[in-house]
Amino acid sequence: MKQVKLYPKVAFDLFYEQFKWAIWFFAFLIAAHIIGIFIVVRNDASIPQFFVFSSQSVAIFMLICGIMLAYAFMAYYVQQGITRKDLYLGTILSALALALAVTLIPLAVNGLEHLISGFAALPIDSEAATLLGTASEWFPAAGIFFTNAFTYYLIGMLIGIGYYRFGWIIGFAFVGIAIAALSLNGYFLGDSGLSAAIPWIPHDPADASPFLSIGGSLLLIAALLASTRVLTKRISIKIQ
Amino acid sequence: MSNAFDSSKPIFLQVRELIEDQIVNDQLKEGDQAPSTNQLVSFYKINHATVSKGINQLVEEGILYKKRGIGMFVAEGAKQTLVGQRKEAFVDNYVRSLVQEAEKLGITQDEIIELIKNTKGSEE
Amino acid sequence: MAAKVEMKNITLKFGKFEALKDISLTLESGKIHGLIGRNGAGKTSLLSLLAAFREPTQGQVEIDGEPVFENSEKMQQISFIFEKNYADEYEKVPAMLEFSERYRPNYDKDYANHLLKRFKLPLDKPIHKFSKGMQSALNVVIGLASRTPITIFDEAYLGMDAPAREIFYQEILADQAEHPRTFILSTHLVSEMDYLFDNVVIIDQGRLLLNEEYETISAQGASITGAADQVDAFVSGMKVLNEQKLGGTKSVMVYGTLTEQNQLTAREQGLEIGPVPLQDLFIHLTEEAH
Repeated sequence: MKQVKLYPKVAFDLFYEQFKWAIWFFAFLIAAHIIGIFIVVRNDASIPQFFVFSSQSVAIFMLICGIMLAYAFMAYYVQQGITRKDLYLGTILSALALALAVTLIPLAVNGLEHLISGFAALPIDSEAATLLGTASEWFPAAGIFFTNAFTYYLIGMLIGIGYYRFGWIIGFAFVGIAIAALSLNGYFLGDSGLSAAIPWIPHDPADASPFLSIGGSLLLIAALLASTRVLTKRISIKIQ
Repeated sequence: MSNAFDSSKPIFLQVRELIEDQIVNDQLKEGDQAPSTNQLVSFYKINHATVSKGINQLVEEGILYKKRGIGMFVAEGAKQTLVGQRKEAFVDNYVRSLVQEAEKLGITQDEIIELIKNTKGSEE
Repeated sequence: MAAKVEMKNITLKFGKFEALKDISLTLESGKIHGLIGRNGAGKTSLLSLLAAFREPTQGQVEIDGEPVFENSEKMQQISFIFEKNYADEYEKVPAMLEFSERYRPNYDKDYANHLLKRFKLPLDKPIHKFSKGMQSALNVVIGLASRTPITIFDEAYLGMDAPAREIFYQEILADQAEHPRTFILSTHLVSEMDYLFDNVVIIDQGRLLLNEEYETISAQGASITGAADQVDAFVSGMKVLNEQKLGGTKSVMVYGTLTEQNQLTAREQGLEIGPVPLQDLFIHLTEEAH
C-alpha cells in the first residue's frame, strides 16, 4: 500500500476549523470597533485604527486557539490513526497559516477603513496612518504582527499540552513558563507592558536593536517548537 | 445462545437435527439451497464454530453439498437417507422407552397397541 | 483486508500500579476476537496500547510484524471505538462522518448510510443532544464504515437498547462475511455476544488467563446432570466449577474435557451431559483467580 503523506491534510483541516473560529472572532471585533467609533464620536475623541486596535485581541485569540489544540484535536486525530508526528507538523503548518490569516484580515479591514475615511471623517487615530502608505513601514509592522500571533499560538499550545499531559497542578507551572515566554516575546517585539511583567527581563523593549529583536524572537520560537514537540512526541492519549 | 436450543446435548447436534427436520418434513427439498452458516449464526445466535461443526457433519454424510462461492444445497436422496436413519433410530429412541414405561405402569401389549390406534385415529 | 496483532511481553504501569502484567498474545487476522474481563481487568488499557494511544512500559505491540507506535502505515489500519464524551460536540452526523471519510482509505459511504438508517440516527441534530445509546450507535457506524483492517469496539454498546445491540451484532456478522477484517470486541455482556466470537481472550487483574478458539474453550467445560449420588461419583477427581441441587437431582459444571470413556459411562448411567456457557466458564475462571 502506497503511503500518502498525511500532515498536509491535517494542516488543512486544522486550519479550516480554526479559521472558522477566526471569522467569528473578527465579526465580533469589527462590531466592537464600529461601536467604539460611535462612542468616541460623541466624546469628540479618537480610537486607534483597526490594525492597532486588534493587535492585543488577536494575540489573545491565538493564545486560546493554541491552548485548545491539545483538548479539542489531539485525541480526535490520533483516533483516526494519525501519528503524533503528522499531527505536530500539521499543527505547526496550520498555525503559520492561521497567523498569516489573522494578520491579513486586520490589514484588509484597516485598508478599508482608510478608504472610507477618504470620504467621511472617521474619528480614527491616524498616527500610524502611513502604515499602508509606504511599503517600508507596513511590511515590518505586519511582520511583527504575524510573528507575535504565531508565538502566542505556540505559547498557548505549550500551556494546553502541559495541562493535558501533567494535570492541573504541574500544568500550573506551565502557566508560569508561558508568562515568562510572553514577557520575553514582549521584550523582543516591543511591548513594554508585557516585558515589564517579570523583573529579570529588561523593562525597555528591544525594538531599537533589530538584531536582538529578530534573533531573540526566532530563538524563542525555536525553543517553543522544540519543547512542544518533545512533550507530544510520545504523549499518551486519554480515554474519557 | 438462543432458546431454540437446550443444554441437554451438544448444540452442534441440535443444529444438524434442525436442518434434518426441515429436509424430512419437506421444508427444504432436494436441490434447494440450505441456509448459510452466517444466516444460522445470526438467526439462532449460536457460534460460527458450532454451526460449522453441525453443517460439516451433514456435508460429510452427503446430506448437503457445497457449491463453491454459492452456498450449501440439499443433495439428491437426502430425504430418503435421513428417513432411513431415523427409522433405525426409532426403535432406540421411542419404542424401547415406550415399552419400558408401559411395563412400569403395568400396561399390556394389547393395551399399548390399542392406545396407539386411538392416538393415530384422533390425529387423522 | 485484515491484519494480525502480536503482543510481546507487555507490561503497563501507572506509577506503581501495574495495569498489565507480562502479557503475550497473538490475534489471528480475519477473525472476531472477544476480549472479556471483569471491570478494571485491564481491557481498555490493553486496547489503548494496541491502538497506539499509549506506549507499553515494557514489551512490544506489533501489527503484521511491525511495531505500531507512531507507525503511520499501521496506525492508519486501526480503528479504536470507545465510549466518548460528546457533551461538547455541536457538530451533526454528516460532519462527523466526513472526518472518517477523509482519513480512512477503506471508508464506505453507502455502507455508512445504510447503518445510519438501521440505527435510525437523525442527521440534523447536534450530537450532544443525542441519547447515550444514539451516541454509541454513531460510534458503531464510524467503526464499521471505516472498514479498517483492525477494528476495536471497546464496550461500544454502552447505553444501546436491546434492539440496537442486535443490529450491531447482525451488522458485524454480515460485514465480516463480505469484507473480512480483524475485529476485537471487548465486553462483559458475555452471554449476549459469545456467539460472535471466533476466538476468546480472557484477562483478569492485568494478566492473560486464556487466549483460545471458541470451539476449544467450549469443549473445556461440561455440565453433568442426574441423580445426586451418581453425579457425585462421576465427577470425583474432576475440577468442579459449580454445583446446583434440586431435590435428588444435581447439576455439576466441570472444567476440562470429558474423554470418550467418560461420555460413554455417563450415558450408561443415564446422566445428561451438556455444554457450559462461556459466561459461566468466565465467571468461574475469574473468581478462582481472586
